Amino acid sequence: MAATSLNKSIFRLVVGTVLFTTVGVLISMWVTTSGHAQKQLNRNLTIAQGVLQQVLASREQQLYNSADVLTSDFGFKQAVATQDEGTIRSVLLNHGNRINADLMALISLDGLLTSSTSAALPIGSPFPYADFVQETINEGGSTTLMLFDDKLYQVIMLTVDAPRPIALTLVGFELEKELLTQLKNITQLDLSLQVRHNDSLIFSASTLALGTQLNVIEDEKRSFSWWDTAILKKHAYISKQFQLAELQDQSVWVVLSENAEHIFSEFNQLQITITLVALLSILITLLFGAMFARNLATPLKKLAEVAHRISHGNYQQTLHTNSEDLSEVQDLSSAFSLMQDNIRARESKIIFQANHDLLTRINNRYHIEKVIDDKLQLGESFQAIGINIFGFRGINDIFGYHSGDICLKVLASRVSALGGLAARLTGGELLWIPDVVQSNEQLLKLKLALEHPIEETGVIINLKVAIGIIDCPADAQTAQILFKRMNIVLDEAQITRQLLLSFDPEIEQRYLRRLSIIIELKQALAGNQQELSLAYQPKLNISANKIMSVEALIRWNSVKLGFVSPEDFIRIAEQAGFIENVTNWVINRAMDDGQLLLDAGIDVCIAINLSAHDVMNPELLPMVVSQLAERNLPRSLLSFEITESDVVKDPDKAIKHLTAFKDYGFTLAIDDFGTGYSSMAYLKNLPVDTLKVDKSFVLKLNTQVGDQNIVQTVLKLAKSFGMDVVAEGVENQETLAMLQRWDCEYAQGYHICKPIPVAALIEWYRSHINQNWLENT
Amino acid sequence: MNLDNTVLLAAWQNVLSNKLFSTAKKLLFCGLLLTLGYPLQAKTLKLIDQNNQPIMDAVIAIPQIASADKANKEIAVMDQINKQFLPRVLTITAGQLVAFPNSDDIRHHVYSFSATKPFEIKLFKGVVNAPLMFDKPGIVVLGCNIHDQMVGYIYVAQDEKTFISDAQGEVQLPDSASLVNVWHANLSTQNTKRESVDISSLPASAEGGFIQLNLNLVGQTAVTDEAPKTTSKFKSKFN
Repeated sequence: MAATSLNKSIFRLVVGTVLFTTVGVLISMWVTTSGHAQKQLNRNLTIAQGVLQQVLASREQQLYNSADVLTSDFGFKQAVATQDEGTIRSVLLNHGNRINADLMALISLDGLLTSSTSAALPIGSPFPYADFVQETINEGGSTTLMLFDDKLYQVIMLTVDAPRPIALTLVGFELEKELLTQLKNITQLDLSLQVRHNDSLIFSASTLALGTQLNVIEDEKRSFSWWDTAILKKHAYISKQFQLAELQDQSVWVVLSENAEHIFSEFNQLQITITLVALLSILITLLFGAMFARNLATPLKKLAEVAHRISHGNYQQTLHTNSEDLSEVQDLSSAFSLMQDNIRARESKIIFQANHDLLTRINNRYHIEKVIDDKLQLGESFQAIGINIFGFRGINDIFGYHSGDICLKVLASRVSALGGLAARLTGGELLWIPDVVQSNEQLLKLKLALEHPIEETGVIINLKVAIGIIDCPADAQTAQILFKRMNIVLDEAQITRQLLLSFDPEIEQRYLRRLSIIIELKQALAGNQQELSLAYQPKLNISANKIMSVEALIRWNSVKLGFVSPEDFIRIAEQAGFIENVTNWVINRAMDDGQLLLDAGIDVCIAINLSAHDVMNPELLPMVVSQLAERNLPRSLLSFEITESDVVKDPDKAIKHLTAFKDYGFTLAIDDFGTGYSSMAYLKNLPVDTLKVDKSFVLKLNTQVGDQNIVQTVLKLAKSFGMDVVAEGVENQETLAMLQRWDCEYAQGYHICKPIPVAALIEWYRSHINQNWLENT
Repeated sequence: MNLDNTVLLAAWQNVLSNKLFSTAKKLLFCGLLLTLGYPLQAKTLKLIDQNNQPIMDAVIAIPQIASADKANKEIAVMDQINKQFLPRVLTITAGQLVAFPNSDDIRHHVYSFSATKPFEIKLFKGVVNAPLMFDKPGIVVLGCNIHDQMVGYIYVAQDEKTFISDAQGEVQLPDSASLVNVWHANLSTQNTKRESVDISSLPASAEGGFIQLNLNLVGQTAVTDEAPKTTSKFKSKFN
């Protein structure tokens, strides 16, 4: 529905109401007037009829009086009785003159005209209205209207009584136009006298003009219609007719006609007046309506404009209320004003919430992303500093989320106090964009300031943060890249414990390689096991001159990444938390290969390297035991090597798990001995059978005195703990001979054999089974 | 009362007694006639008009041979009492005299335009006029120029025996009567019309033992003893 303006509405309302009322008044007036006019007309006509009849009766009386005088005259009676025609004629003429009669005649009882003063009634001829002769005789007289020679007469006929009727006298007066005019003057109506013979007009006299008269006579038969008469002016006259006399086959009618215009003239005047009043009231009301509408519509229009502007986000408008305005409009205006203020307040709150982190009240990532993008687009150079709480997860775990939140809040407030832009990216990671580029020294100071312990309800929380630095736009061209690289830098900083680290493309390369290693290795473990393989490096029992054990070393020749160093991917697998899968794979494969070796008649113990995670994994031992049992393999097939660092984290638990391994009959060795802390306490407590001297001490043993001292010391130490020693990295015969001299139990190294696949191992074993390893020296 | 008055009164009384006497004589005569001429039973004729009303003052005339009845020398009387002719209808024979005494104490101007006997006499109170001779047979309509309502009829018969119907329309006729002439003023507008009727052919009424004769009358049919105040319905409209 199309909206209608107030002005139009008022116009419609006003015009509609006034028109409706006016038309109603007019219609009701028309109906009333029509009825009234009709009644008035009928009354007029009835009165006129009465008057006319009265007049005619009065004339009749006159006629009678004159005629009676004549017929009562004895002389006349005598003349009639004696049929003295001369006398009769003279009496009729004389009397007729005296009373001004137009017709005087004597008629015999059998209806013949015996005497007449008018040529209209010739003597000797029968009287035209024979019925009246008999009526007159019976009644003694009669009066009526009669038509003779196209003239209408009021006629009286009386018997001449002597004393019984002997003849009839007739006295007639012509009904002239003057009479009608007289009657018109009395009744104020037009009169027409008509004589009809079998419904056809044979005589007519009227006060109306000839044309009008015909019209009236036609109209008179129709029903009276106000519409036709007053509006269409179809009928000039409204008529009523009544029968005055009837004689034989003729009837005399009087038609009374009232000028229709005359009846309705006042009504028409009234109608015009009402219409004018209606038009005037429409005009006046429209004027007032327009004023009212303007008073209402103008402020409303203004408010609408204000509302439009509000919808476009302009909340700074001042609304002026006019004291002349309607109170409703003023109310509306203040409501608008209030609404604007509230919307403004709410929107700024919403915008703040949208742009800020709810907890720390500093910018959120979405907002800072936009800000950074804007800066970058503007070509600004700036420094982005990422701050990550070390082990934030741990804080939450240990002190609860509430404390974690407080740490974040405090840290955020410390950062934002520095100026520039501060934002929380995720979890315990904040971003700071300083206004001025900070040097490393400044940042180190900052780091210390940020790490100031936080005291929260009696608990002191020590914070440790990593700081990553990215120079924009040199290191990041978009916010997305910035975030990504910031993650990498911070990860790297945490992993490498470099707690202040600037972005370097190399870091990203490493990161990406790490990422691909994780993906590919997981795939390799899951299905593509052709890529993975185990290589075995024999360990020589020096005193027995026999290969009694081998160390299983994993090899990964990735289709995508090529050969990946075990050091790299094992470390990554440990960090990524799926080293367990690698260990399981290794153990399974080692069992497969162990079966092969057994089948080949080679009795060796396969040493498997365990990571710190494996050491802590309580499910590993039961799995190994049950697998061996399932495969029906002896437990002596496997032994395990651990590093010192594996134990450092949780020595008690490690010792407990390792003791369990020992109890199950597996031998345990400490790998890379001498490179770590090499705590004597561990040596005392660990259920370890063997120490493996790190190859760094062995590789140049034959030439390096220091290495010789260390190895000798280790050997002594091992002896004192009752442990065997394996020297890794034996690369020449001299070293081997030296080790033999020092009573080192085992030697392992390229000099004996490099790590080789199982098939090659079987070959190699068979070919070297009788070799005297110390013979050559 | 003076002498003149006394004389006048005595004279009037004389006339009155004469009149009464003559009436009585006439009745006696009639009775004689009935006894002598028509010794057998009489029969009753009842005259009824078209409205089933009895017709009074109708004259039934039975023709008879001329020699049988000589001219009646008796003076018939047509009196005026209370502005009416009495009797209303008088039957006489041609050549009979009729006296017009005036019993009212007002004047009358009696006239007739009838061809049978046109005349006019002015009757003053207390003046005795000579009787008039009605020598021609026929109907004489009497009027009074002063009192329009006064109408009287004299039936002048010749070679006829006449009877007049009474208020019940009844008349006693001799048994032998068959062909009769019936007259009544209203048989025609001219008042002179007579009808010949063979009463022997008429059926006898079952109930009353009379013969009924139906006649069509014209004009004012209701003939009563009481005198109408005016003579015309039409005129009464204007008076």
